[in-house]
Amino acid sequence: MPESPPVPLPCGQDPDDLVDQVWDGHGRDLTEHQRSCPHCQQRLRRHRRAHALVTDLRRVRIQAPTGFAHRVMGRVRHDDADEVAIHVGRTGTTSVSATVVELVATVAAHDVPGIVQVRNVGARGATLRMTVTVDLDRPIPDTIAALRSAVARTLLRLVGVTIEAIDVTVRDVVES
Amino acid sequence: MNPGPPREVADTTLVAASRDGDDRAFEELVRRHSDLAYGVALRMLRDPHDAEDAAQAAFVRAWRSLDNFRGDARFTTWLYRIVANTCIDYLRVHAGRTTTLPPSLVEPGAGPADRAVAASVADVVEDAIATLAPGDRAAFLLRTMEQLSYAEVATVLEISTSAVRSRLRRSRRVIADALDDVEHDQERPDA
Repeated sequence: MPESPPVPLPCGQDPDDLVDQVWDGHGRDLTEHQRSCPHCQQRLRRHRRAHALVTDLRRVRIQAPTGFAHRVMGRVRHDDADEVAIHVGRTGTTSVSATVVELVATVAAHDVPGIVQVRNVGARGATLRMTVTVDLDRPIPDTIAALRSAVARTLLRLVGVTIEAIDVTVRDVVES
Repeated sequence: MNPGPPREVADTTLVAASRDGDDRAFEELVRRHSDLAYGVALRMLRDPHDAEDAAQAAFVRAWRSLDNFRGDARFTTWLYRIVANTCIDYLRVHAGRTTTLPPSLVEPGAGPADRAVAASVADVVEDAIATLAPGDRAAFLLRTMEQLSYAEVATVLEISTSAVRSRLRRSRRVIADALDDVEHDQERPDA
């Protein structure tokens, strides 16, 4: 749906121009009109405040967790690049990459009660390998059964892939 | 004269070696750009586990698609695209899921009282960012947190610069509105 144009300020200025002015770093470079207009000044003030707060958040430096690159390379070196055909017909074949299957499986797994972390997922054809950390407060067989069911169901619903086997390794447990 | 440390090998050289199957060259690229990929993913997804999964998946996608890297843009621009798309996929599959940012991402204030106020205002900003549609969120974070130019955001997200501008305006209005709401709540005597 197309967006409706912004309502001009009482002084006739386009409020989006003021948004751009502040967020593009010119919030204090006022025009002659803006220096004497209370409407523009009020609008500029509120965006300057928002911009300053977001700039503060930017200063927080985020570092990848320890061992991140090692884990990435573990996946890369055992990568089973593959494609899964989800529809074969006279008009052509539809395939999805293993990456898509792995991504959807990971997301589905995170919603399963008792799954604390999905450490690795690999798809090859109709088989999926998953390495997980589980909550020790729940019976592990129940958690894994729920995991298999949720992952297979979600892959069928969202991707159209029927998974025949899900091999699960419980690498670690934690107590909630 | 001390020659100094050896010059760092260019990303494009490492990409070329990786394409030839040199996984150590790719490992160097991963080490170099881990913080970038994980940082974008954490800001997009707000959950450390999801962020690690998405950032890992992005690097695996990059490894599989090295042949698609044409070299006419920087490697980081290409990586931003893969990470952003991976996170957008995550968010679309997971619409409605709410997560919280780790406390380490909240800038502390000068003292306990300041810190509480700073944390609550930072939370408002973070929560407002989390309400943005995945594509808007990606544009906003790439421009504001990663400081990419409008043209670079357009290249990363494969949209026009005018689409970038409209996504940014929408996002900025949402954040300013959210802060207005907090201000009004604080002005109420029973707040």
